[in-house]
Amino acid sequence: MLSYFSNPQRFDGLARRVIPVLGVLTVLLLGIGIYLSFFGSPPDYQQGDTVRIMYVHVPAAYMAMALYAALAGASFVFFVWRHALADAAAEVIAPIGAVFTVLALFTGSLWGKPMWGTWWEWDARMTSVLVLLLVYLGYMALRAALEDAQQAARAGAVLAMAGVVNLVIVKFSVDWWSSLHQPASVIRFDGPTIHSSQLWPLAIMALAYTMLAAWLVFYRLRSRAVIQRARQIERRKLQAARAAQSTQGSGA
Amino acid sequence: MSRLGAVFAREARLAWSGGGGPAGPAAFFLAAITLAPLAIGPSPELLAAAGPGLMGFAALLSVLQSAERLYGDDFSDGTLDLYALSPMGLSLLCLAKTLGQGIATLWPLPVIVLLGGLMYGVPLQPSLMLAAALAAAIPALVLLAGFAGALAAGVRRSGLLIALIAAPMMVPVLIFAAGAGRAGFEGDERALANLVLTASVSLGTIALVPFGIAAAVRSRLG
Amino acid sequence: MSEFFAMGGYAAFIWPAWGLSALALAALVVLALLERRAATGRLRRLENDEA
Repeated sequence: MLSYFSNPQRFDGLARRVIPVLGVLTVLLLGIGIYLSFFGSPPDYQQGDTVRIMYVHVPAAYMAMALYAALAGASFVFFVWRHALADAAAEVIAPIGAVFTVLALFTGSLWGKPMWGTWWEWDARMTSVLVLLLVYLGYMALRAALEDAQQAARAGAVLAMAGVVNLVIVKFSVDWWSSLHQPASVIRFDGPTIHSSQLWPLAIMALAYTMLAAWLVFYRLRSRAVIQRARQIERRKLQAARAAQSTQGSGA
Repeated sequence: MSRLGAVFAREARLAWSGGGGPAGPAAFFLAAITLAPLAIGPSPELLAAAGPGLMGFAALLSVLQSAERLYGDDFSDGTLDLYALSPMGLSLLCLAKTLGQGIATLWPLPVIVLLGGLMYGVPLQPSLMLAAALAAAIPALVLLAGFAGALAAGVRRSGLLIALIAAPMMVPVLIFAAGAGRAGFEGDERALANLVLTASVSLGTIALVPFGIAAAVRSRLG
Repeated sequence: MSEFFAMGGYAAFIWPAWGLSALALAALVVLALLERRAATGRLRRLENDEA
């Protein structure tokens, strides 16, 4: 299947059909999700209306992690089979994942203040997400700094795969770190159990976010194909201009 | 093996004599732990409590500060191309090279920690614990810096990029090494556990990261 | 209606959380659309030049 879609034309044909479907699904699911989040679900008996922040916070956090998994998976495919499309996907996924990570942090902060009385708590989960953001930023900075496209692709793949191992160990060590110091507050971060009336808006919003991320990835991948074609033409022109110049030079 | 030893010795010798050797990271570390109290304030209780963590953090910064040298020069002068062709195996070579260079330049850090412990009013026992943990952490820190350094070798202002890439990777080592000193200071019996965890992370990086460095080097040479 | 916007007294947290999310995601979409427009424009100009 992978090698099937490594053919650019075939991928373009697939993307052309998939993109509108994803777009429609995103709009539809977002509509239902927003309706359920505000009208279709009651305020939580403990958290009151703040529970409505959960419907944008948890999907964002889930996308932050899922997109990193996708980034690492695409990097692995590129590293082993050298499919150019996998590398393009990795490059496109990274900034989207970073934005979702930032959203997870901000909405989490806005949820934490009314619930736990603090904008930021150095607990294991929030700290891990912050580290995840650094990993995304490091990946993007490395790719941006390497001018040679081949090198950027390969070095990026190595870094993204190392990031998986790193994030697992970070999770473990940060858990250990926050358990070393018993926090003075009586905050419980595992949260209350979710009622089924809250599960529906949450699930639909998560699905809507997934569709949106998929739309963004496919859409930007198609744009990259256009950019690449433009670059090819530019290169061809440059070569033609050079050739013309050198024949003129020898003629004179 | 003896040839790997030769690489280790060569890198250690070069790092020791060239570019200021161990003086650079040592001076940076000393400057960092001198300036920190000026920012925090002179309260003895505060400084003693923050001391172990602060010194662990400052040590990490000194490793990052010197990380650019690990692979930058060898990338530009073609040494890495030769290493990649060597029959010894690039990952083993990278391990020997990085450790040789790292140990030659970073050995003063645990010693300075003992001095810093006195300055911050940290008792001797937690200071020794922190120094031991830092000594155990140096292989991990330098290998991770080497991985980031190999990825970013030859890039303009690579120091900044290396710091950004390596910082999240150093999170576990920082937690365990600084935690050893911190727990020691607080009389927590988990100080030793932290020290053991530091050593295990270090061993884990010695086993795994050389392959990463080799892959990073290859990705930049192709 | 105003009761809805008050969100049980938590309006100052709920609306910024949703607003920021909407803003960031909309920005991602708009940037993707602009990127496509710039790319197709550039390609068309190059192709016209060639022809």
